[in-house]
Amino acid sequence: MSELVIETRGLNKTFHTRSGAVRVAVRDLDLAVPAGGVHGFLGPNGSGKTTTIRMLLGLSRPTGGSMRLFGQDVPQRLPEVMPWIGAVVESPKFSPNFTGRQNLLLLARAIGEQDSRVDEALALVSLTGRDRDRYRAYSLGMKQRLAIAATLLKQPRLLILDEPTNGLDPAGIREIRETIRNLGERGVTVLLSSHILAEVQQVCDSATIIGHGRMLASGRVDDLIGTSTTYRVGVPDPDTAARLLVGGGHTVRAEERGLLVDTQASPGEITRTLADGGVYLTELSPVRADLESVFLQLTEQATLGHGTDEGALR
Amino acid sequence: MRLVGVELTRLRWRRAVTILLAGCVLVPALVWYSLVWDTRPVTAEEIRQAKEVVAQNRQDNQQMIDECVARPEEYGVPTTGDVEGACEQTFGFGDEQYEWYLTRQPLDVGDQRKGSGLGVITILAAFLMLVGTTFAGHDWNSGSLSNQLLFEPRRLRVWGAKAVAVGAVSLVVSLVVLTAWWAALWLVAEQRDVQASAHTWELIRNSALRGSLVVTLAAVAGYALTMFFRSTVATLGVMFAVAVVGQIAAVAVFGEGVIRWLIPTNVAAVVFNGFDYYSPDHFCTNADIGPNGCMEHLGLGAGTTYLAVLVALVVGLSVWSFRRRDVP
Repeated sequence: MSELVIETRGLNKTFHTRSGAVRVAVRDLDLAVPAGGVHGFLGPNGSGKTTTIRMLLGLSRPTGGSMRLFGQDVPQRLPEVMPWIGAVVESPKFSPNFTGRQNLLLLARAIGEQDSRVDEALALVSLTGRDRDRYRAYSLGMKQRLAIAATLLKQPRLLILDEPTNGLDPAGIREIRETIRNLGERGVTVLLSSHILAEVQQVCDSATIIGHGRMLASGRVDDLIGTSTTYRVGVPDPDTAARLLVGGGHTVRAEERGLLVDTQASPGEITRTLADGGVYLTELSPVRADLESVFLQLTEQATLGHGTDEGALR
Repeated sequence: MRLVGVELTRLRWRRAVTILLAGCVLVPALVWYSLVWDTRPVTAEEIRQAKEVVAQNRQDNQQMIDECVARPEEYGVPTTGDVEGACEQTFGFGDEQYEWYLTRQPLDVGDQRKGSGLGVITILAAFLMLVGTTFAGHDWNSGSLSNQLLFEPRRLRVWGAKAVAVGAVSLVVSLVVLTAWWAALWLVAEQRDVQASAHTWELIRNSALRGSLVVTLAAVAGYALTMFFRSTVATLGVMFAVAVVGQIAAVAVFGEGVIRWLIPTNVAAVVFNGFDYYSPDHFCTNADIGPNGCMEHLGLGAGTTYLAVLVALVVGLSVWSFRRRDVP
């Protein structure tokens, strides 16, 4: 087994709202990210991705559990491992009145890097010509690129990117994804937090899916897709069939030609469930599985399985 | 030291800080100019005009007396006996001097220590407190503080480096401005041949030095408060409440006995090496003590202790909060 770059055990984070309610953001999260490659951190908005990242980086204190980065307990040993970690958390955060170059110079000098390192980082993200413009004049894409340039000041071994393609145009998205892939191929471990399924499927080697602060699945992207199959089901009475299938623990989506059933069960089980209810198939065919179907299945199951969390999360 | 250098650079690059530092120079310069203008020596032309006014007054007055002597019944003076004497007594203005019309006071260097000198210290404290506040507030408002913590996660170091930068700049600026201000006033005094004893200049020097320390503490307190509240606006609100509303409210609620515990009283005690303040409970009923019987003395030590404890509380709260709370 390869060395784990990120490891959390039973990680918890709860917030107390002003009304006194307890909001559970992360619950007993076990996260394991091996060294090398690009690891997707996938979950819907509000699932606890950013909170987890903020805890790993020492910006937020966990309520319970333990975390390790490069085998070191954090946040206690964070100063020792932070020089190896580049991170963009949520939106880029810089002083709006400083130029892009000034913002990077301050960060580089804080870690004892030469000013020339700033020029290299700016060149890597194609911001050389605009580095003396004020940050507030940057487009969202330029801000994202500057944030990535900031992570490269350290020459990191671990890159944590939280929704790095948010707000970018298609060319910018492609550029960032290529940069991420290149970094992964060069031996940098990248944790890519995203709610864009296609992005994770395209860019990542492995992924962890979370929902409601819990880990739902983790592994290589190919393996994750393989754990679930989607079947197209044709029946004369879709409503009754959907009720029977949901009752049987399958995830059902309606479509024009019938029903799409996301399940880990065999075709025979689907047939039996419907036949026991007096519904007979006109079509049963496998649909090519993708991460989206896995994601939807897992997050829907999580919602059903942890309905009591919903109120707490609101 | 590296982080302090970075924070000094950040401070220098902040436009709001540059404007406030310019204010630290311009406003005291304006106070100096106003003082120099208001105490300028009287010119020969002004003396001539004053003498003319006195001569005209005398002429008008004599005319009035003459009319009074001619028709005393119309002016309500006795019509028998020494009519002229009675008119002079009623309408005469005595020995009017032309100096009475030259009301401008000459420059008194010693008096300025507790006048404009204290004013300049107060102005510097206000400006540099704003420097500390806006410096920290901008980091929170822009969210760049979380980015900084990704490069230096030791929060105490980050807090300390920023505090040292604010404190160092405040100390240097206040020392330079106060030195320049008093040096400029010394030049004016020399030019006008206004004498001030060596003791007076020693008192001024010591007040300026202690004033610089008070200004530095104010700036660090402003910074620390903003690191606690995480908002420039909230800090300014609290500072306004304490500086204005709080003091008035304290006197209104607790009476004048609370004056000893007000910030300005203790600042004055530090700057002036002791300060006499009104204390209604202090020997006020003892008629033998005289008009100053209600005054009580607050020493340098007591004032310094008060300010040190106050700043230590603010700093302690700020550091604790910054280390414990999540950073957005």
